[in-house]
Amino acid sequence: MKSRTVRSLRAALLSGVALWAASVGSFTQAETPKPVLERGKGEACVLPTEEMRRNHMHLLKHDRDKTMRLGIRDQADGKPIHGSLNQCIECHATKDEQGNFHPITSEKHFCTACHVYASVKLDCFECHASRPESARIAEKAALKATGGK
Amino acid sequence: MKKIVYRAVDGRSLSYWALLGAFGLLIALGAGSFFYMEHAGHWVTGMDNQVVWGTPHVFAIFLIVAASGALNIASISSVFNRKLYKPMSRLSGLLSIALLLGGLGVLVLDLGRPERLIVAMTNYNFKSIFAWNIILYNGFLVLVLAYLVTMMQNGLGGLTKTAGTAAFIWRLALTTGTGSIFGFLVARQGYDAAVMAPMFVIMSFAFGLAIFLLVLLVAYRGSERPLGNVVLFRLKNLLGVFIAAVLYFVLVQHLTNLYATEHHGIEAFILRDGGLYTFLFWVVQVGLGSILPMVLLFHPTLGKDLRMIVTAAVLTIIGGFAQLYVLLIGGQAFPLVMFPGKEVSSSFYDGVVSAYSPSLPEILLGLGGIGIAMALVTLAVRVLHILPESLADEVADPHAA
Amino acid sequence: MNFPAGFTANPETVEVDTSRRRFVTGAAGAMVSLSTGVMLMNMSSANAATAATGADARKRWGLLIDTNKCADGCTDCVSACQDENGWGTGSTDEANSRDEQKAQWIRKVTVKDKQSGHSMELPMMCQHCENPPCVDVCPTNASMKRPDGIVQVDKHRCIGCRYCMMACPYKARSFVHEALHDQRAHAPRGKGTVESCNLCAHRVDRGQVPACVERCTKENHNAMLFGDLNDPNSAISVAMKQHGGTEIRADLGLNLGVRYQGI
Repeated sequence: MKSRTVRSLRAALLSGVALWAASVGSFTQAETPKPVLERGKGEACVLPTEEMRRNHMHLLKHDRDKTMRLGIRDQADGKPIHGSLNQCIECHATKDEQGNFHPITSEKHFCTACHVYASVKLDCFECHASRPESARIAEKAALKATGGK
Repeated sequence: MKKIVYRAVDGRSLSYWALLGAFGLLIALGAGSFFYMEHAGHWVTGMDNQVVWGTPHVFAIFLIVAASGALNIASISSVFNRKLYKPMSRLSGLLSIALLLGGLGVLVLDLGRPERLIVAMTNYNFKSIFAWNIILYNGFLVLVLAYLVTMMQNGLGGLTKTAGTAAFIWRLALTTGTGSIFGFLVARQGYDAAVMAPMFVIMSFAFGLAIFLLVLLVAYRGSERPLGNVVLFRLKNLLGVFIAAVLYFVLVQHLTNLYATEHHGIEAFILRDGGLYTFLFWVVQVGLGSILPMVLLFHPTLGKDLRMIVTAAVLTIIGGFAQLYVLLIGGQAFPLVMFPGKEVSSSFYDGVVSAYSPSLPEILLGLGGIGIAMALVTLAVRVLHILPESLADEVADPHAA
Repeated sequence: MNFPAGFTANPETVEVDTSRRRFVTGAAGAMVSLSTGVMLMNMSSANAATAATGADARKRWGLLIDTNKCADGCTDCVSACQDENGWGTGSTDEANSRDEQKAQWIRKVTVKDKQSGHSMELPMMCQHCENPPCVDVCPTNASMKRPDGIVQVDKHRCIGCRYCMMACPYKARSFVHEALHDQRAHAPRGKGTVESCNLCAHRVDRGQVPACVERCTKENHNAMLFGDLNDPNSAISVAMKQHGGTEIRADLGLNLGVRYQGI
């Protein structure tokens, strides 16, 4: 005779499986919408899209040390190294209808769009500017023109 | 000496739960303060670019220093074979772990980027005494845990002396390392001194024993177990000796500094012109924290009064906080001497004594560390067989028939 | 290439013309319209941009500051640094921080001799020591020295323990006490990390001089000189050989990269 514990455990397991099977059906009906990524500048990124999708974090992590510890910012041909965050932003920064670049707080920012979907917290932009330098300069100039600080 | 029976406390009384609840409240307040500081940034604290380490560090260093000192009781038993201390060894080991965890908790939660602790654990700069301290703290936890296991597990008693000796040597290294955090800083007048390391070791003796004494008394009074005078008076005399030793080191530190004209600035600041720091040094650290407790403990009649012993232990702790406050914050408030002999001023507060006042988030974070340590002890004595059923004279006295 | 804003290169005016007048005009135009950073680069013999090859270990970047030329009340170097690196008046950030909590990468220090009453001013920033106490004490190697002698904080690794701030004899380092939003693209800075003057490494790597030096020269004070201390023919080495270069707190034996004249 199976003990009471074993029987109740088996019942719990079976009902759990049943619940899961039922819910799978509802999952396929209402999935989280995939992120909409706005196209950046140029034909392609510095590396193929699939490789970037999978490895951009490793690329950034290794190349940042090259820049910080060794001062290497460019490749031999003068183009910035692949992992240069500023260079990512130069191409991937997109503007809204008013002509302002999306900041990191907007869901239309290239990095935010995917990272919100994947639920991976971004640390980079605690320190790094999330818009091109030209956006900041334009903003300051506009403020100065209107008499603000 | 009769056979010692260790038994977990009942822990079912209202006062037990009230005590645990009080420590839980401290932990909650500390946690809330941490989340607030981490989310908003350190602008909500009293710390700034002039006084870089503040009240949380006073609490953290106190707890860490006391942690290594709390192990003394166990060390005296295992390493130096004094039988009187053996029954209290388990509590000693437990308390040292708990205090260290409390102190480390405060230290780590005050970091600007606490989520990067894993970076600290995996990127070591072996020239940094801070990095060495991380290794020393973790090693201490492992060693004392092993030491406790040898004391508590049947059949492992033969390893107690080895484990105890290892823990004793390690704890001396740890406190030396903690003192050296300050002693190695050439930049500041108040720190750059070899005496910092041994002074911290002696401070650990006094602070650790004061806390141990209070915890022991509360535990035995709370669980209605007997604690005899043989143990009590031996501990209180030991505390008096340790306080005297701390006073000696403080004397040496300041006399040495006073001899060198170069250090007259910092000495005048601490001993005479420092306002709050001068008050804390003379009245709280030396007067209330060293001289008065010694008088109480060594007095022929007062020293035998339980209330006076408790008062002396509490005063020692208060004096210890004052000592660390003067050391840590006074040492930073005094301006860096970049141009000896000249008057210096700038927009970055060069040449002036920096103002600092503890803010509420800092104090609550520090209290949270105390909460962690004490909650751990309170829980452990209920769950594990840490405390002897009796420390009455006929049980504990090694000379009894 | 990503040049920081403000850098202009005007190749057209460098073209040599056959007519003598146009040649003289062209040359004068080149001198005026080319960024003064490039001018100083030629003068101080700072070598070509190292952004591809990295910090050159054969070089040691340093500053020479002539306090006799440093005017009382002048804060041009400070404003230049603020604008370039996005702190202080160069940024809208740090609104919540008290004055004592706000970052200061460079400051003017007034030094008065008590006996004689003589007073002078000098700019004080990270001294880029050869034996930096901040690098010694940093538990995670975040505080680092580049092969070319520039001392800086690797903010990817900084845990915000502030021990380097305790260790620095010059109070060169600042801690960021609140969240920032107005960073310059070439000068990342963020809450919970420590920062300090990095000799404008992003400019140096592109062959330019630090912003403070550029501004001081542009405004014709000429109190600051930047260059390679390891090169005996560089302007800075020549100047130091002639008139010396004193270290602040030389007794600490740190062999500073920033030297002063007239103190």
